[in-house]
Amino acid sequence: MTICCIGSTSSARYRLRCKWFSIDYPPVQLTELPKNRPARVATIRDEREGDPIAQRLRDLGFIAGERICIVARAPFGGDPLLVRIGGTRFALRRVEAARITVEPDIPEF
Amino acid sequence: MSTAVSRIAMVGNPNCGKTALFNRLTGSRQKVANYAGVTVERKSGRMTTVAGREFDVLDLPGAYSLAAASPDEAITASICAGTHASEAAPDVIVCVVDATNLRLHLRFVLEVARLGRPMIVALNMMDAARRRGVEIDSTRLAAELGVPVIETVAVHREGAAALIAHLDGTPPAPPTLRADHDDIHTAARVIMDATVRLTNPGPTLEDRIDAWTLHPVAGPAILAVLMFLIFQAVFSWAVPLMDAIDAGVNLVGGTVASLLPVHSALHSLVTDGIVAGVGGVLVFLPQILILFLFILMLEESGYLPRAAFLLDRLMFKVGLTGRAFIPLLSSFACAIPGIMATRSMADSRDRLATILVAPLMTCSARLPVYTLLIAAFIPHRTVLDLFNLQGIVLFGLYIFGIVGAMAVAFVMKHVRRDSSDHALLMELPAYRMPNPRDIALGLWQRARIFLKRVGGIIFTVTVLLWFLASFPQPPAGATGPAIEYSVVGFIGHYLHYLLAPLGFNWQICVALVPGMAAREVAVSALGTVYSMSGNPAGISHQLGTLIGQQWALGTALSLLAWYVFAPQCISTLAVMRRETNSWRVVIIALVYLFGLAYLASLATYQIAAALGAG
Repeated sequence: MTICCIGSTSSARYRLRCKWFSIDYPPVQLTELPKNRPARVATIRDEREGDPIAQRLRDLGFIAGERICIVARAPFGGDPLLVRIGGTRFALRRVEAARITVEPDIPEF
Repeated sequence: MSTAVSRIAMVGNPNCGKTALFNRLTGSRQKVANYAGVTVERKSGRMTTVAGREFDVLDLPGAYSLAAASPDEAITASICAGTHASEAAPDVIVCVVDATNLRLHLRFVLEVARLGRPMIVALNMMDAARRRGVEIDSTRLAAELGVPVIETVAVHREGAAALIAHLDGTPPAPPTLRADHDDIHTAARVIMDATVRLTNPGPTLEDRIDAWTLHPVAGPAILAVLMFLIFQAVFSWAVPLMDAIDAGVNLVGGTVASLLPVHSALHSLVTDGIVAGVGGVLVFLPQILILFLFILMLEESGYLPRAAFLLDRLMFKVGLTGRAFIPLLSSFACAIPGIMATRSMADSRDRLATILVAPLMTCSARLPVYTLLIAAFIPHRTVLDLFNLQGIVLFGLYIFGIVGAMAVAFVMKHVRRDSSDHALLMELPAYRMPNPRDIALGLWQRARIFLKRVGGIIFTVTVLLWFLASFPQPPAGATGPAIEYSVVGFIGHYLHYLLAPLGFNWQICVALVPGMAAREVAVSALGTVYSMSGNPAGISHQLGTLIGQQWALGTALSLLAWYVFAPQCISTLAVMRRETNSWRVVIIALVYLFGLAYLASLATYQIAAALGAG
């Protein structure tokens, strides 16, 4: 059995893993994902009914299961974020990125 | 198919190479660059295939989705759907796809395929994809999509040969999509898995460059140094070339004038009107080309969206958006393409704010005015053994315009007071080595536009001004120069009442009126007015020396401040009207820009006068 540290910038989280079972890591907001940590998109949340920004995100390929990773954070407070999804790099403001939740990949040991 | 000319529409995601391919097919020279949203309106051209068939080719703005989010996408969506007011639906859609970015672009292909129109997929940038280790099975892709898939490399001479050959063959049929692809995203994923293999998943060149250019500290430093170097170069590299043009103009003018009778009206028209006026503007060609050289290289390299990324937070704080960076940077060349480039902005509030502040960016037409005044009043000195003082002042004027724009946007943001989200959602393209041929072509086009302006509007206005400055002739027994009694003299003295508090003399007041037609005209007009006021003839470069002697420093600084703000360009106002479809916006712009210009000049002159430079 291994204990993997998959800490984020705010708090370190741990996850138990052995060959019989694994506990799914809870999805986090994209804005919480550390830089260069691979993850997969979990959900895109509509801020309100027919949210055009959420719709646009889906059109651009932000859909559940896609591989996603934060490549850079802008100066002056880390907003916007530079996100790579499926080989394309998009700049997203934090308000846009907050609509996206992701499941970080578990590092292999 | 009938014998009538078939219509082809080029569609696809932004920055996939539609326009490059369009240029290749039709022999056109439409602008290409490396960022999303270069083409914001439809462009058409004619192509003839090897077999002699003719096609009308339509190049459309890039779109991420047929559910349009911005004005440029709306054009593409309506033409594809056949609902556009003046453009019929195309007979064939060529959907261009960037092979290095297939995952994203495939969704748009599937969306277009659902329209059920005959289509061909052009798998572009196949060379770049191979270099990156992306292997695409195009035969399998064609089978999955149910449409022909043709590999192209739009930047190579023969890169579109296969596409042309295909258009020569049997006309394409509507796509036969496989039925099990209900959801576009699922379909895209299934097709990707079946057709694409990545052989080199390591960090790309982009990642390594971006680590520097987007670094929180190094990134902004690189941007600032880059911008500063451009303005230094504009000022210091151009000098020898400008001297050469100046000498050439005076030689030609002198030769022509020597063939004419000395005190005739024609002699005066050539020396005072054409050489002093038009020649005075022509010398600025090298500066404008150097500025464009840098802008074109930045556009081609893919750096501009990175700069937009770095500056987004700052721009958002003042009520703009990082997306406004590219339109505003184009406005340094000219506000007209800058304002048109805002069509790629989805948020109408951001777009309006950008349009309103675009005229505050220092366009290349202001360069002649700035250069003339700086050269005449700012000593040519080296600061810190490295920087040219004149270059620093020029840079300061650019900064002054930028700060003014930020202040205006900030005020507008607070007047508007809306709190809903503004989206950024901007794609950053791959870096690309600027293509020397494209750069040369872009510079040649700019030089032609500038020369056309010099030969067209600037020449016309100069000649017109010469007439108005010559007639009516002075009454018998008049003592002053003839121009004092002419129409121009009358207008100049009348305007002088209004502008005297700014430290402007009547000659400046005269120059500002034709300067509404184009900013550079103010320089040619000053040349003509001074030349006709009894100063040495043929003064294309002596104008600087002359005003250096006659004007107070306060007057020169005040005129510089005026030019930072004043909307001295009717074409810009006309484009604002067309792009916003509102006279209200034009009037707001006109009032606030003239208001700021007046206040800035007033403050500059009065402070300078109080310090003893009036």
